[in-house]
Amino acid sequence: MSFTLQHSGRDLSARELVSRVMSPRIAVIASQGATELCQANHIPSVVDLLKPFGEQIEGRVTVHGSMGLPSAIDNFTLRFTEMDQLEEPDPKSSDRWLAEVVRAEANGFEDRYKIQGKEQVTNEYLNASPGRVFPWYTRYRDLLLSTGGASDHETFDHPIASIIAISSLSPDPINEIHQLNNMSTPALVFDKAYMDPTILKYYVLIHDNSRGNIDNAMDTLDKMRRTFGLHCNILKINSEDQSQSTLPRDRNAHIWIKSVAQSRLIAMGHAARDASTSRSSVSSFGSATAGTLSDLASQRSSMSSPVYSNNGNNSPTFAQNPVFAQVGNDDEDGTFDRDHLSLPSAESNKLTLDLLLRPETVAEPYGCCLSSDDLGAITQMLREMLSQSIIPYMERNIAHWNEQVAASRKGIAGRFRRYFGAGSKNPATAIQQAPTAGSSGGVIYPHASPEAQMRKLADWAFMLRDYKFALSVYETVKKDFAADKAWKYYGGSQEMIGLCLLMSPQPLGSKNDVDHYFESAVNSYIHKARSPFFGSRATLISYELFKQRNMYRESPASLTRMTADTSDLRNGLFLEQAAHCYLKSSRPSVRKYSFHMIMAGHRFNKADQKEHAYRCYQAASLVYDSKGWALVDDHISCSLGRQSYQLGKAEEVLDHYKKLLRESRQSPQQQAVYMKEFLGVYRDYTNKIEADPLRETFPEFPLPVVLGPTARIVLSTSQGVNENNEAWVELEAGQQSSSGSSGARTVSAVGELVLATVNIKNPLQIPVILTDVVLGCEHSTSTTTFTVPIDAAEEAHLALYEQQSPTFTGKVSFSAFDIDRIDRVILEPGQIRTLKFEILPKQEGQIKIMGLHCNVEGQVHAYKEIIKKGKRLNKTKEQMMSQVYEDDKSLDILVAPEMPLLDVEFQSSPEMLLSGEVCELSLVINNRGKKGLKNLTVRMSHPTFFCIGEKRSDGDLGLYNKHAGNSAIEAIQVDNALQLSATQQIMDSVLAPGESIKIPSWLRGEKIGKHNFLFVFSYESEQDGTAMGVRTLRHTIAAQVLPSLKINAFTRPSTRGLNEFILGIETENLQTVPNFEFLQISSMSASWVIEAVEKSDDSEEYRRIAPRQTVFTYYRIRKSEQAAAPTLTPERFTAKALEKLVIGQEKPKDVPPPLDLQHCHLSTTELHIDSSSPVLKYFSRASRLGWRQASLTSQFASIPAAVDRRHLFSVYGSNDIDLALFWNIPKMNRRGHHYIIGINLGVQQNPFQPIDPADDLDGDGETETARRALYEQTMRDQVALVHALTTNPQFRDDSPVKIWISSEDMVRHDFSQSRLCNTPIKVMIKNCSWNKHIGYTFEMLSSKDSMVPQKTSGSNDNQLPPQTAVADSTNPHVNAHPFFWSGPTFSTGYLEPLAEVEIVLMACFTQYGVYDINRWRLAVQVVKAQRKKAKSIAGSKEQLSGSDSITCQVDERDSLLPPVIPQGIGKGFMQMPNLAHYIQVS
Amino acid sequence: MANINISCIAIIGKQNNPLFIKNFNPSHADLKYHYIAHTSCDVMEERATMKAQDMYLGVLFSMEDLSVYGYMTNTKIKFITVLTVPDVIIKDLDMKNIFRRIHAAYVNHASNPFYEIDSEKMIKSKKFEQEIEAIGRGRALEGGNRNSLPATAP
Repeated sequence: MSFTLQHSGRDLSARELVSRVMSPRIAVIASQGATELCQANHIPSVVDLLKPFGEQIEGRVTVHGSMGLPSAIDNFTLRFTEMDQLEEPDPKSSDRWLAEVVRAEANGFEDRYKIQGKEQVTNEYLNASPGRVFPWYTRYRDLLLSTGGASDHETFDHPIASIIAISSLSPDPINEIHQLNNMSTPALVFDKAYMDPTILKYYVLIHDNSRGNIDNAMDTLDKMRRTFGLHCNILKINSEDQSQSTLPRDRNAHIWIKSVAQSRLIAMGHAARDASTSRSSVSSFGSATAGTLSDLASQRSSMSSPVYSNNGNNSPTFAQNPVFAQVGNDDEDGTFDRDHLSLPSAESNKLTLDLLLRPETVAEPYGCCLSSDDLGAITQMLREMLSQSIIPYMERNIAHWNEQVAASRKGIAGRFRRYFGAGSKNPATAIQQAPTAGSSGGVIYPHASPEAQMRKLADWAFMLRDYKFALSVYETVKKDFAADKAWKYYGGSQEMIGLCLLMSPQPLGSKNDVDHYFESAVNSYIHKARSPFFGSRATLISYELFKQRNMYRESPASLTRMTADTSDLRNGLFLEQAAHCYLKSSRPSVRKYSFHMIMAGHRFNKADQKEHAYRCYQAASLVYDSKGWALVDDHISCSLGRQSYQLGKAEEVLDHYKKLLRESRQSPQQQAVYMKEFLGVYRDYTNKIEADPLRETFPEFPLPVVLGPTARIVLSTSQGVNENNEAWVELEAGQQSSSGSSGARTVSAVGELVLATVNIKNPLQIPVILTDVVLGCEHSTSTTTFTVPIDAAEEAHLALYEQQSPTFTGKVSFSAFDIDRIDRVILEPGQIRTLKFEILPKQEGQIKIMGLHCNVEGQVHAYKEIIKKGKRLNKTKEQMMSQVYEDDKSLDILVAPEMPLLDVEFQSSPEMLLSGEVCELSLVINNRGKKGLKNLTVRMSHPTFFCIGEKRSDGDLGLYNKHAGNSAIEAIQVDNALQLSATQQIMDSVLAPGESIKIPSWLRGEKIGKHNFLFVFSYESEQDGTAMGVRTLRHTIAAQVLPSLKINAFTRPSTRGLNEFILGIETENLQTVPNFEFLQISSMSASWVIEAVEKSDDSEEYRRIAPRQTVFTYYRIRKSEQAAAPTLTPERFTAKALEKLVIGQEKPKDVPPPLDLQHCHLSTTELHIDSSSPVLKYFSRASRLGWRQASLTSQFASIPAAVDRRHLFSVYGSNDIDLALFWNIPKMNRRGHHYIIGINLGVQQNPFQPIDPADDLDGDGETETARRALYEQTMRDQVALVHALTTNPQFRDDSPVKIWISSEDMVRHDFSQSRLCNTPIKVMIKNCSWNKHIGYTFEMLSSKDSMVPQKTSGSNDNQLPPQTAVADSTNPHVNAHPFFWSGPTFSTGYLEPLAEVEIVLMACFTQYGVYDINRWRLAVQVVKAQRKKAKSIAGSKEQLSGSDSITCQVDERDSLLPPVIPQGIGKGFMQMPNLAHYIQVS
Repeated sequence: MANINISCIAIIGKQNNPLFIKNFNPSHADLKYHYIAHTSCDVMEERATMKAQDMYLGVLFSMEDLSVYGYMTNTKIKFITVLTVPDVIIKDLDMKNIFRRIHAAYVNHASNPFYEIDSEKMIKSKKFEQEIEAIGRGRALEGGNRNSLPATAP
């Protein structure tokens, strides 16, 4: 039969637990011989032999309840104790044991469940056994429940029976029993009033089979039976292993290991208790020396009436009384204090620990000789004793007390008797014999008093599991206790009522009620009776029973009820249990759990249970983690930090403290404390691991906060990089590559400083001092790829560290670069500071700024990475789903080999100049770099203002060089392409390092206003293939341009010829002080020249323009005879290009060919200024270009911006004439010139023209041409474009025909000789259009005819634009007499482009007078090219390609004859004279 | 309302994150109220599921000498008021009034278009703090009853 005890294997159910704890207790007295028998089996005593078997007596016993009804109890328990160990052991020892047990369980415990939220409250957690989740609690509970002792208010720990054991080897057993009996009677415990000395005695004869004779033993037993009655039994054991089995000697040891260890422990506790009792009695006597002993006795007697309340510190007398205070203190269940008592020696201390924690290490081979039969015999003996002696004894007593006491109390009479018979009981006398050090000095009922007997009755009924009956008795007796204010008794009965309710199998009526009983019990125990042991016992037991009934909601309240109690260990445990209850209740309350865990941690900490405190805080921190409860987080981190420091977990300490150094709601003082603690801890840590705190980097140190995104790199060479406005962007766009930041990387060169700025922030509310702040940079020789070694930062730091000698300041040197070091930065609370570092690259390659090294408070070295994200990527789906950023390269420096470095300066740049004034500056170019410089070019924001010359040795280029002669004409070919070369080459040659040159340049005040001139210079190194390529330099100068002259120009057709005009120029001096002197006028045109009207006009007065004065000057413009028409006129080019654009066949690519311009100078002095000098050429072209571009943008807004206008239009048209007026202010030595741009003397027409109407056979114009070529998809765009071009509001097609009438001004005629005066009048009709073929109808009108066209005269008059006649009303005095035309007055004809025809008409006058002969009407019709003759076609083709200034007399003749009016295709015009042409007949 | 002694007013966000915690009782550390506020979330969640119709949740729990009252808006913003337990009985009506004022102050603050409602940051607003301060100290804000919300529909 294998014998195992269930107890050790599994957790007990709560009911089992309670019934075990509250099971009958049996005292054992053993003779020397009996003990020796046990010791042969290595078992110290008889009690120890029996103990494990009493834990659970298997089988069923029948019990008769109060009503006599039998009920069965399984697995009854009996507790065995030495007779002298009935009372509780030394409370301080037991507290120490508890603390040790709890502490031991923390070691190596790992939180398996890691509760963070409701999700972690899994079934696994809920179903886990308590021993798994919190093993320390179960150990604590078991130990606490087993260290109780006999108390006055309850009888569970009072012995019910005693076993008197003797050995069968005893020579005189009966006598020995008598001796033992006598020994038991005066036992100390029975001195106490509440202890009933009459208990059942049970005699056991222990027989050793291997030593004595069994027959002798049986005889002895018989003898005993005869002497002592039936309560005798024999127990047979072996002290030698008879079977000589091969089984190990300790095969049975497991049964005893625990119980023996416990008994030894409790024995030690009692020993300690005896020692302390004697000591405390001494001290109490010492303290009582103030009064006499008799005083003390009288005090006590006066106070010990049951009515007197001395239940707590509310009573002033109690508190004042030193003795009671002493008593109270003694009883106090405070924290275990190591220094309080003389410590047991180290040896015994270790023994205690071993007994507590590792019973097997101190175990001996218990029961080595016992066979399984022997074990069975023990059980058998106990069962017999239980069923035959103990239970009947208890039943008998219960019945007896029920009749004697309880029944009488329950009646009305009983109640009254209590009051009437109060005197007879005399509790005072009972108490006088009672006081013990362990009691709280409250009311004590002697065992014979009815109340004590009632209580005993109920307790016994409870032990026999008759809960209902017990409950009713408790209820009854409770009232008595309450009336007597016997709080300990009262609390006890309340507790028992609650227990009865919970223990009985019926469901509870109301859950709150049960809890209420415990509440009042605990209140009575703790606050009134000051008996914390029973308070915590009640709490523990009720908690266990609650758990059994799943009453997790009620449990926390009962567990936290004890918080007022002083035992921190117990509170910590209870709070932790409460925390777990919140999780286990139907709705897990994780936050309450964490809160209680924190409170538990706090209590554990106070109880010196560091591991548990740490564990609790850790568990709570999981719940609070990163939920925004900063203050709470800080508190936890701080607590964890302190705990782990005390536990010696150095690295975790740092981790926790690290979390505290951040922005938070803490007060500055608090943060200062944190900081100080942290620094201290870190110092200790580094001392311990023998590291230099400044050499080792603290990983992820929170201070300072580096604001990565704001970090930037600036080249020391660039100017104004930070103002990155559009103007610069536009200018720099044209450069192939710029040195500022190519792509994202900054490009610098060896030996050129780079400035890095980093912003750092102090998140704390206390100032922080940083020392030795250095940027961590990495250098790589490759310029394309960059891989940073993982420990790069560390290596860099070590390199830095080596250089941190105290004498060395300012800079740190590496092989590849030097870098600034900032010695000391003080960051004020919350401050953001910008740190600037200069980096001097010394090697080619790449430098990457990685992070920031600094020493915080001079004690911690921190390395902060500078993290800067690039653009958010959003291309692929993955990128959209997640947040992916581009690599940021803005903190990389690409180090190019040594480069030239440009420095420019404009010397003598004026701050103010007049409009049109030209100033000479000199541009100084200096190469500060280490390499030669070449290919210097510049881009300007105001190209029309500046002309940069070429390098010349002689300073003045001669802007206004004078040449002899006051007028000159010269032809100069100019580039007609509509583009000022964007970048201007300044210098081609190599500028050696360190050299500088001056380049002359000119500034002309082109426009009035304040100007900021931006320049971007770009240049290359003489060495090819460097990483940098082209470098650029920005430069700005500013100037203000003031108004000078206001110039208006106007032209009139001259009467002198067909292609002559009068030019009037109105010049107003806007200045108030200076006199302007007019120097020269120059014209620049392809086909026109300017000439003076009359020489005499150039008088002095016209040359000077006084302030606020206006001067008019007149010139003549005529067609230049020398002008050679180019093969492709600008107009033709434009028309072709526009047509191509409209048709959309190809993108126009050509640029207009160069054009010959005739410069014509008219000077007022003897010398003229040569406007063809390069500077003036540049300025004139630049001005023209500026004007042309502006006008084109407004005129052709419809042309898409994508189309390059350069390929459509030209700068100069063939009929444009530009004028330049040169002036100076002699007194101020200022000179300049104005341009008059935009005079077009040609026929106004839309530049968008059909190229060759002759080729256009069946269509009707350009729209048709275009339409045919249109594709469906581009139709709408193209139509819109064509429409916009054809109906451009900027252009009104004028009639291409010019007409000039010439005749003699004065006709002398003698009317007496001839009545009619016939004078020939020549009429020139010229088609001035370069491309239109026209048909015309010319009609002379007599003086009578109306100038208004007649309906019949024009064939297609509907299309005629209404033209108002001006001539009729101009002068009423002319044409007083009519005149007539003789001969043909009507002419029709056809004119090819630029063809002209001369008609001679005869005017016929009849009287003297002045006549306006300019009376005609011309209808012009644009027609198709004539094709009736092959010759004409050939002619027209010739005209297209070649010169067409021939006059077609033949055609004219033809056209006069037949009225072959070609079919009109275009617009028609009606022209009429707008000036009078007078002829005087005299 | 004069007998109500407010120790702390706390506002907890939707994600049970602290939005505002103001301590009016110098005898306790702020930390304590943070813990109380955090712990109240559990109780309020439980309460709110039990009776959904009223925003006022009544006494959540009591701790030592403090009792904690709760109020939860429809958007799950939680207001918590911690009272020092007085000698007289506190009427629910008074508490409802206090909560309504807090609610109004919060609504005023949240109506600021620059306030990010779902950002889990603590409220930093001088005006809001003043209003809460006024409620906590039992004063009426000057400017009359602009804090009064329309009475909730029965």
